[in-house]
Amino acid sequence: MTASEAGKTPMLLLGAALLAAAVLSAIYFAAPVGAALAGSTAVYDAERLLLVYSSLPRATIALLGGAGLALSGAILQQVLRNPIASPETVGISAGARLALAISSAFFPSLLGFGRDLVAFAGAAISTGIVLLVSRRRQYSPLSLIITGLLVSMYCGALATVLVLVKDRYLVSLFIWGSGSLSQLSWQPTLDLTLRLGVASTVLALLVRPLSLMELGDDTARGLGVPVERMRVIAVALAVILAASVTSAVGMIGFVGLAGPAIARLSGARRFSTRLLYSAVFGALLLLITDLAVLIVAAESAAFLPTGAVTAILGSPLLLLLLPRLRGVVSGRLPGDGTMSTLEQRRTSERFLPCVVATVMLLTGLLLLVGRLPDGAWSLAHWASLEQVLSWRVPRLLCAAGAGGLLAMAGFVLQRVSANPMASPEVMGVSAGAILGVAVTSFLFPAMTSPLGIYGAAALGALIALLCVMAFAVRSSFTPERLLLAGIALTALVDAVIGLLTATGDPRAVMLLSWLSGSTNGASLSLGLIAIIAMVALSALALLGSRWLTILPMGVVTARSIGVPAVMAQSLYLLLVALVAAIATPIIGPLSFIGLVAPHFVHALGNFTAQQGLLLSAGVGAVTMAVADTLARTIAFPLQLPTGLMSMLVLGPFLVYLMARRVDYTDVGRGAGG
Amino acid sequence: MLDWALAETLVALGHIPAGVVAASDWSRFVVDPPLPEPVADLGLQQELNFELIASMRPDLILISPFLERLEPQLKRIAPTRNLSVYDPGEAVLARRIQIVKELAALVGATARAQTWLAQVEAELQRGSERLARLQKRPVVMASFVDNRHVRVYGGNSLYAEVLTRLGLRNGWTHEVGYFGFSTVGIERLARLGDIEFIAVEPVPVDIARALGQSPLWQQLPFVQRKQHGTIAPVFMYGGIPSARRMASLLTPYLESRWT
Repeated sequence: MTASEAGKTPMLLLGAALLAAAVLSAIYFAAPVGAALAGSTAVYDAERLLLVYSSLPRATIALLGGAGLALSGAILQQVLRNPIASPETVGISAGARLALAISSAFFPSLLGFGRDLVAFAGAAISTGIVLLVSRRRQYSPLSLIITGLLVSMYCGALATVLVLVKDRYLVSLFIWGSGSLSQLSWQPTLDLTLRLGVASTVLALLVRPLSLMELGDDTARGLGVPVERMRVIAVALAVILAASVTSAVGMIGFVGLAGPAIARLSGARRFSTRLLYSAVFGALLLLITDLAVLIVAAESAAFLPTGAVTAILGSPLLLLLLPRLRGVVSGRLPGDGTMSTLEQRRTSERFLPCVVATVMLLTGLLLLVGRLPDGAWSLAHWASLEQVLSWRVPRLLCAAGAGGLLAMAGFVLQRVSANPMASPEVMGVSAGAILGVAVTSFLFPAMTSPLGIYGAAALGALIALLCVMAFAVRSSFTPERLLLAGIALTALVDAVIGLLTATGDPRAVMLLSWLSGSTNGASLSLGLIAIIAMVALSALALLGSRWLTILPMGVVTARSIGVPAVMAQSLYLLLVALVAAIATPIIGPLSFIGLVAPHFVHALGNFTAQQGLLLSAGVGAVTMAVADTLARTIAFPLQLPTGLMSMLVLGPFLVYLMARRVDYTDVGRGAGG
Repeated sequence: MLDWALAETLVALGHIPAGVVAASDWSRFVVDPPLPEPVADLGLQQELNFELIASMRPDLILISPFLERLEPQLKRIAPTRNLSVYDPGEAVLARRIQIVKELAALVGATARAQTWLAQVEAELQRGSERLARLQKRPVVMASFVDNRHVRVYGGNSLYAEVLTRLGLRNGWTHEVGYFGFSTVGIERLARLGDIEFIAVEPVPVDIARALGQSPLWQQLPFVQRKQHGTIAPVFMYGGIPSARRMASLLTPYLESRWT
């Protein structure tokens, strides 16, 4: 490392981290170490035993785990040339988690000897999917992160279904999911040391070719680096590093992102330096957090898994760090191309009413589909119709209304932010609504009235949206900033729920049911409210359809034609917050409908902004109605939550969409910056 | 239509419920009393199948406070009673005896409930007398969550109260959470002194290997003196039938181990 590269920042940061670690270690270890040195005459010395076989291996595994995750993140950032790649953002952790969930629910014997293998396999599959999908775009940062986020959300949804169906088997999964560093012996530490040692040795051999990849694929190729093969090997290495740590101690959020980020901030420019710094900062970060957790939770009843704490602390930290990150590739949507807005299709206008009428009729017919008590499929008879409809109609109305609302909001957001991957769920607005409820249930445990819950949801959605807006204004709507805000918020919600469930807190049940989007509590009046809100807010959105036509061309263009761009954006974002507040309590934050419906409409043809908005709402409503019918019937006698069901159906479709029509995410390098 | 604790109490009173949530998992966690055959599975506790419930035309629907938010819907089907098996402010067994009486009144089995409760009471009494002759140690009830964590029971939990009723001392004296247990790393057991450690099944498959590798576990006083073992599953959120089952498992187990 040259002197100019070193500068003062890294030493300062390093010094601060070391000091923090030293102080916390002193607080935590002083008493037991002192006692151990003094020697005890007792036959059984609990304190010494704890120090030697629990506290020390725990501190060691914290250092190792932090270093492993940060190394994994640093490698990924290097070979994908993406400063926000990390084990979490490319789907490694989520895949490992889902694989372990599946095996503990269905093949518990696998876990006995093959825990690591199961985690590796899951991580490899999910990462493989993410990379395959984003490969066509040369792993453009945005496309990769979005795919990673979607795959992670999808894995999370599947794991949630498992928890719902087999919840009593899976408490362990939540503990594992929240990453506890508790240790009983040196064995896991030794195992992890071995794995990380082997992986680091391989990594050391690859440092040179990997450094060269910084120069761009072509240059690297010219210098004799087999770029494609090297990338695969490096990613495999990153998967092994992260999955080893994850399998040993569970999910430790954000260390894999924060370690390299701090290394970068401290000015480490060369790859080898960055690796070293990442590992050191990652290790210290996890150790500091863990010691703090131990000291805070020392004798209380609360069980505080360290991984959940890093995730909860890490997500806001990430948001704070982001603007300072150098080298974030910024990109803008091309003003023309697939989001083309000025073409119209007049012929379709005449057919529209007929299409709408047919679709509504078919949706109505869904109400007749059901299962008899013995499980047989049936179409309802006139005799039982009234009885059956009284259950199905409210659900369907709620689902359709919420689906329409979210789809409409998704359409608006994609236009306003000129970002084809924007939607309430991806941008964290829905997560904000859930967070609002979660926080309220803590501050006012007695409050259970629906009105209060909706108010909390609205407030949460609004605050989340305001945060996102603040970012949006500062970064003039750079797509990845918006998405990252969403990632951070969603991860935060995940961590909070994981923490509650791991501790056995009764509120976890309620939050889980919210998260999964249950239409179980639907009433006719709520259904009608949802439908009316859908119609009214869509009409409101239509008032500014000229803005919606022009905004996707970019703020500058919009201003030049006399559109008050910032005001238009702000008004529409407010509308979106309102929508999220109404729809999220009904259908949950994870339905994907707001993201998918506008794309589906786009696949149907080119429409004006007005038509697109109405069609999106329509497609959203119908899709949710179908999802609701499926949720009601498919696993009879079990009923699945509608929000989750819709996500399960739409998820693969979305990944397919992204893999095929890759131009949707063409906002990476080259496009604008 | 019931939650498990209410259902097992009804079954014990000789009244077969028409349907129970998550009936398919019953045999693994509640075990005894076995769920009679014609009981329908009503789906997930978090996601009730109203249509199915309505088509069964129940006379009465019993729910726990967890399902309170769905009460308006259930009331459309049949009269609904919300019975709280759990109340953090009240002693667990007393609350559950009260539940037995309330349920008995609802299904018209008051006389039977009286006899049955007296019978259970006598059994518990006999258990505590049998154990009184032995040299007792504090008992820690736990369930292994994974190979590094245990839930330990104290305070208001069913397990802890049964221990007390049998005249035993609970070895876990730390604070516990809302449901009467707390989840801790296994290393937290190191500071326990001379106790009897009993894990309730099911236990994770890889626990034996993990504990075998741990010098910490091997050196724990209750492991050194072989004062640890497991008993068959008992439903920890259960009612009086579960309490009775636990007492009937625990008494012979301890008799076989203590002198």
